[in-house]
Amino acid sequence: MRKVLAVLCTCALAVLLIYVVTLLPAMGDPDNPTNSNVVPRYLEQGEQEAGTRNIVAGVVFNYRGYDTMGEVAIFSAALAGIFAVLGAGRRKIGRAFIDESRVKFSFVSGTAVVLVMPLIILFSIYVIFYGTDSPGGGFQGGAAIGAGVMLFTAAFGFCRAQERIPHHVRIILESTAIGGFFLVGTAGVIGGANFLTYAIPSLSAQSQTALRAAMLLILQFGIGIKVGVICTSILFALLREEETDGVEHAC
Amino acid sequence: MVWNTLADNINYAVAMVLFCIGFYTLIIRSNLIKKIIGLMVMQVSVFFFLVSVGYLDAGRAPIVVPGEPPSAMVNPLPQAMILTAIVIAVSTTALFLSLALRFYRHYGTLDMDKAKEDQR
Amino acid sequence: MEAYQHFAIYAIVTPLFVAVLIPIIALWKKNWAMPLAGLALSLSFVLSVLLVPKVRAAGYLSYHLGSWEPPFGIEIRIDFLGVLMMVLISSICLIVAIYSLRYLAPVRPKEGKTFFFFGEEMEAGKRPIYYSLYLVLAASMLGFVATGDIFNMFVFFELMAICSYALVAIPGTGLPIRAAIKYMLMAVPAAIVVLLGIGLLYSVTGSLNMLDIAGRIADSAYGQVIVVSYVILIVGFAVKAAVFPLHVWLPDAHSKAPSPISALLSGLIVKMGIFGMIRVTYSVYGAYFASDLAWIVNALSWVAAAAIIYGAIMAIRQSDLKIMIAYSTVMNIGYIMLGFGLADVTALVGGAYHIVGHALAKACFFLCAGSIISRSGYLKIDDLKGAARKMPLTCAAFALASLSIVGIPPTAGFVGKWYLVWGSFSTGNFLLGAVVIAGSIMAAVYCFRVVYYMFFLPPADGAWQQVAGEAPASMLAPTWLLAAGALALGIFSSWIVPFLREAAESLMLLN
Repeated sequence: MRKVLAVLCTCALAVLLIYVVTLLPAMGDPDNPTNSNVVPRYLEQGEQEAGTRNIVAGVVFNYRGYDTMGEVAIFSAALAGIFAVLGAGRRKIGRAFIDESRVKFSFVSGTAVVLVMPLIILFSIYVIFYGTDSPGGGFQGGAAIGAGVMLFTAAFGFCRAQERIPHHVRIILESTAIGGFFLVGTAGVIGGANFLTYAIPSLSAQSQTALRAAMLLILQFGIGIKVGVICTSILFALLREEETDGVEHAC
Repeated sequence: MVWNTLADNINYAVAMVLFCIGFYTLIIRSNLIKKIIGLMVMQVSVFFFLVSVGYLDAGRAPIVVPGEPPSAMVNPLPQAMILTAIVIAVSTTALFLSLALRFYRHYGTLDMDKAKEDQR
Repeated sequence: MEAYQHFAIYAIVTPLFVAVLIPIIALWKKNWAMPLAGLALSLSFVLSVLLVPKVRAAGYLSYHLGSWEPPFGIEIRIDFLGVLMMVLISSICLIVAIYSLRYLAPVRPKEGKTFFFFGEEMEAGKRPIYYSLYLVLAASMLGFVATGDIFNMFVFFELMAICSYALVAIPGTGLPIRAAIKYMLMAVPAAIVVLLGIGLLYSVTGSLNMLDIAGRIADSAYGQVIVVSYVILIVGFAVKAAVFPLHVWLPDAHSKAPSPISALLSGLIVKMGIFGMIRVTYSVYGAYFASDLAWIVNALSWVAAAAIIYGAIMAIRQSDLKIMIAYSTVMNIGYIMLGFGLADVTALVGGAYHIVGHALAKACFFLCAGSIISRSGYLKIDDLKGAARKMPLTCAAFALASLSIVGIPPTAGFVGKWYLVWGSFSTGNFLLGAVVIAGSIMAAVYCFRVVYYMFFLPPADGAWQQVAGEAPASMLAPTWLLAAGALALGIFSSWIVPFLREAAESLMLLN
């Protein structure tokens, strides 16, 4: 009964959505409203106005920087939510399941991780700092840092990974992005413009460009650190929950 | 006529079919992890739809290269929107998984129907 | 540029910034979380109140973030309804934050027992996280009502949703987790659906600014796509607003959350869904509203009538106090939806008045329920017999708020329902007007039953013996402030209704 109802609902939805698809403007046509309305200005003047060769980064950080602030807040809120659900306190930490599991990482893989880790970190820093000129940016670089920490945790276990980045350091680093947005935004207000304006109208054109580049860099860096740290914190919170089920070991 | 537009907009159609698959998984499965997978399929289908909206025939990546005409670049706005939406989707999924983990600890099952109401 | 233009953005951003400061400060000073949260919320409240005369004088406030002019950048656009919502949100959040202080960290009385959420105390380590999430929730609601950009609206919608899932589940025990999962299973797809609607709308207009979209769809060649995108957006917001057939998550989530959070969920967050519908209908689809979309909005008014009847019947059948209050929310959402669905200025004034009046009264209900639960541990309505002997002030606040929920004359609930009935009669919908009146009678049945139990029946054997007595002052004062607000809004309605009528007229004028 439930299955029949589900199939019927889905079919009705599918018919409606496919019907809409047949009415939409043809994909990839240069005359579409999406390609002719707001976007030409981004493409033609984006490099000059927003200060980024990568137009997507220009839209994300400059034209629509307020959305990005909301997005960063969502990421923080999700971490706070995970702490709220799983418990945040620095209680006794169980031994990570990878330490106990039957398949142990060998000496070879441990060495390989040690060799690869610096490269991963270097790569993420590259992605973070060149995000304004090439594909990449704070989110992508931060995700790479998170992946690196995940690899390290897989090879050496949860306890050793957690020693490297203690709880209170993570809590402090998490605030970099929103703090950065608040400070950079307020700098614009003090300079006589609106919130999140990366330019101070009274300065000369050259110092404006330098200022804007510096502010974009602060934001990229803050977001990169924050995303990396939050990925790490989520991983640790989930691993600890996985583990504290059984016997409590101190690390 | 209809079939022609559908063939032109095949990306949109695939996105909508994916959306329906995700929706079906969400309502028919009682296992929480499978429900979350269904949700993720739905999310990804919408991202796919939005990226396709920003497509331009023979367009290139929206990175300014001196000497190339700006009009040949694809639309960067949907890409920026999806960048935002992906982070939102990741956050939601992470929170949902942690809730599912806690649910499993408490009820010993991932099945919403099997977990009894009166258990605290 | 004048200073007041920055007020709106700082009302939104300050709680957000303080929210990330709280976990850091809590590493050293555990007890600073609540004062900091209170400070940030009072700043938001003061800034929102200062905006009211400015917005009233100019008609709207438009603020361009990053100094990009509207279709290119994000615009904050606050009209009169928006600024009223901002005042409402920041004041209720502030009041409930004060209530949370003693609810989360009760002082154990010398005699008798104290109970917590469901017999378990929340870990003390979770308190800073609670206030942090609480502030983000407040900021997201303020941002949601202030924005003039449809994608930005989605971002704040999701921010609000994530905070509310986490706050429902914060006790970390079985039932709240189960309720939060049920909530997420409905609300996450709803958010995806809203994004799909925004995507469809974007694909035929190429713009994300609401005003710009409204101008572009007026002579658009893609009329049917626009109608479908409207339906999709309305369904997405309706899940968040718990409109009748999509309300399934509400009774669980609202009754199992900590009581201050229940107050926010019922008082404000479900209203955000309705506000999203109103905003989308009038500010975005204004041009289509009168012609192609009239049947959808008309159908919504019948759905609203069904919600009123269903919510009332379910509320009467409940034996658990908080679940009863939650079903009462389903019913009152029906009233607000009716004001919106009748597409008439008078009815819209009634709906808007009911948003405010119900927010105050329902928040008061949940705070009273929270006080009773945390002092006595009783959840069932039958156990409330004789409650007034031990907790007279809390029970009196409950009685006052129930006058407003039922709609007895000098209260806010009466004014809202009066305009709803008037609006439905003047548009010729006599049946809908009759439903409003019948709903009030049914509300009297479930509200006054509880009041009767509290005041006029003796306690059962042994019950209430070991209860220490009245709730502490920091819990009583917020409760009474909300109840008095519901009363004052009824008494001084002749001051407020002209403002709301102006706001409603300026919204309807767009089409």
